[in-house]
Amino acid sequence: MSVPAKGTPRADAGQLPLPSAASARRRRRPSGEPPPLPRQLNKSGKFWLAVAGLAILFCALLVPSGGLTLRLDEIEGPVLSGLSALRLDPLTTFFRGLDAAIGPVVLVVWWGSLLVMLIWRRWRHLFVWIGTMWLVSNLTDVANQLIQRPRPLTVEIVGSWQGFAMPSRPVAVLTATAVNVLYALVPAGRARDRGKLIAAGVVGLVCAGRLYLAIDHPTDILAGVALGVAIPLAGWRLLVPNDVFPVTYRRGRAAHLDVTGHRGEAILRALHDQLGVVVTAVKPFGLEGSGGSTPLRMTVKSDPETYLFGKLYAITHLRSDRWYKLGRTLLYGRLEDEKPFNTVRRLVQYEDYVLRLMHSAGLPVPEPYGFVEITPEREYLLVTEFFADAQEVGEVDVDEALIDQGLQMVRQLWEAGLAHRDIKPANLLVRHGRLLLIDSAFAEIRPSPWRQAVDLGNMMLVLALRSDAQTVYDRARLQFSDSEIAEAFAATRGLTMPSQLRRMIREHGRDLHAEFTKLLPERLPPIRIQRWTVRRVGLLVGVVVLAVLASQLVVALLRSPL
Amino acid sequence: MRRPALLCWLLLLAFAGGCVNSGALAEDVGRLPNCTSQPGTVRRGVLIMAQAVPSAQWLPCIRTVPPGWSFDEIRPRDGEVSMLFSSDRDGMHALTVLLRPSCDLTGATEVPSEHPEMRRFERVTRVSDGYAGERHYTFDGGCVTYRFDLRGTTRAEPVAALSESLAFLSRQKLDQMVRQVSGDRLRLDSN
Repeated sequence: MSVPAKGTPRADAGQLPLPSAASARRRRRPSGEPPPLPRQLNKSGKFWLAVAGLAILFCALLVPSGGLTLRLDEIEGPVLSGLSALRLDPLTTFFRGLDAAIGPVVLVVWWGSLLVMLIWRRWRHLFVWIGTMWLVSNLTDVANQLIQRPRPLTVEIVGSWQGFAMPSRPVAVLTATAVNVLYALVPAGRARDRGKLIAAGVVGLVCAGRLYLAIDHPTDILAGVALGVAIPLAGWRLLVPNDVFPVTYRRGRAAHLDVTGHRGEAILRALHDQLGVVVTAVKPFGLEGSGGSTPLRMTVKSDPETYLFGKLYAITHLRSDRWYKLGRTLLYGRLEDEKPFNTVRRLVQYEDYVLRLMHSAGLPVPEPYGFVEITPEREYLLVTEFFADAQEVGEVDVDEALIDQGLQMVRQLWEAGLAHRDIKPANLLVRHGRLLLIDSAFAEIRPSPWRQAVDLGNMMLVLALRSDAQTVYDRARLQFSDSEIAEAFAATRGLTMPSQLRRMIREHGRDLHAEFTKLLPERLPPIRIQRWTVRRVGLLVGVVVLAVLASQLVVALLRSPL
Repeated sequence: MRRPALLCWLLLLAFAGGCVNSGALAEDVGRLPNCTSQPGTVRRGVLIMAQAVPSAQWLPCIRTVPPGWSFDEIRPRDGEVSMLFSSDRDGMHALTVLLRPSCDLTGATEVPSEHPEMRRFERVTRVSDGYAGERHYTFDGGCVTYRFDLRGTTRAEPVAALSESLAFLSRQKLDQMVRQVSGDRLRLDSN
């Protein structure tokens, strides 16, 4: 696959040609056909939601009528009387102990799970856990007060109890805890399937015990189980789908998605149908250099094999982007006040568009092939040319030719009204003596002059890493004025440099920034990056208030998940 | 696929959100632990009180809720049950009615009881800035405590009004009601 020649005229931006060997017939997805990777509750989720709906309807029917609860008691009474006839002292002691253990067990499980979720930074799982437990707890509490169903009549109650009977709150909370443990801590697959059986066994035993002790009626327990399963299950399936947020104990960035299984198949199907590309393999590629997406190398069916590069974006990346921008706004203020994206589709559209702009401006960026939809509004795959056999600029000797190309890139960016905003060794590749620019995720159209100056400063620092400041400075003066270079180093310092660049400069043990500033005929005062605006102050106050509230919530949650 | 799920969530939220003010709804749906029941029903609040303290031969119940007062909720558990009332002038949970198998009567003074089956004890703990104190009614197998924590300017008036509004229902009568409503298929107690 060749690097496109600079300034080559492009075809219609929406229909860039793919490598001929890879082409296949594109297929439009008819209305009603599910997308490649549908987002779904699954059959069991729908079943439990239906059961919960019925349970709520049933509870609602009981609210206005005390007579109806007595009718139910007449039906359920014989069951409980029959069980009470089987009572044996040791069995009663066992079930009393089991029932008394629900509260402490739920608390201990909560502490353990909280610890695991904190260690593995499963924030989303944690929020869903808290949210679903809160909902189950409050819903059953409100239903208890509304229905006010007494405990079983006619039969002797031999266990401890609290509150009204319908729905059984301890059973609902225990069941919800079991579901949450399974979906927050146990990896999907065989382990989770086995866990479901164990959880069902434990919940079943507790329910049997409560019936034996005549604490609950059978329908109280059924309603409690229905709510305890359905609410958390819907929460996990809809808000933390396993395909997007898999539970895994392998170390790695949370942003990276698993591209095997259903998602892997969906990617192949999407590329075939939407881009007409027959891809035979999809593998993660260069994960260590990427935190905002899942980079992929895709093998195209051809002879010889060729590759495409893909960036898989999901809702997690959208949230990362939001947090990143919030953090930058808090850190810098006005200079970084670009708005976050609302949807994954827009995030990918933007990157694709910027890449096309750079490409049409003649910048040596990978050829964009558009993007495909994996799950509507949740997952998209950006597809570009793959730079095979390329090395990072930090791994090769940088000569004057490469320096000129790097500086030329910045000049082209300026002239096209663009800023790359992430110029670092990992994003500058060298192949056959040609410098290539990748990753336009942070690029900005019509950026501030400060941002453009930072691009120049960072490019000069990167180029000087494997050469020297004097050579880079001398070559820069051929393309930029002294004042532009002075502005670049007045703008580029500290946090305005990508962290990889800062780290490599430290590792080289050189103060490259100081070396450059010594060479400047005029030194400009550092450009102030701290800008205070009403928005920034408001955000800071909001964050502090939220942090205080969150700390109080954490203290309360440590005492009880309810 | 998304629509049914969304509907279910909305249903759940509507149920949770719409019913938060359960105390205010209590009167509408007949869940007040009233002393009298409509034909074919038995007051569920009184039933659970009887279950909470199986030895208690008398159970507190409500004749009427005085103007300016509202019934909040019943908090039952085995061995004890409480009813909470709030007042627009005397504050949240200004009255708590407790039913327990027995009471701690230390420091309480016995006064003549208006209920011949019960003994009455009074203990006043605050008379400035409103009124705080306890009134105990002791009887066979149980004790009912009215715990006042009034923050309003008048103190005798609400105490008297509440005393008039609360009454007692005998366990025996409640059992009769259960048997009658269920056609003798159910009893209040196991034996």
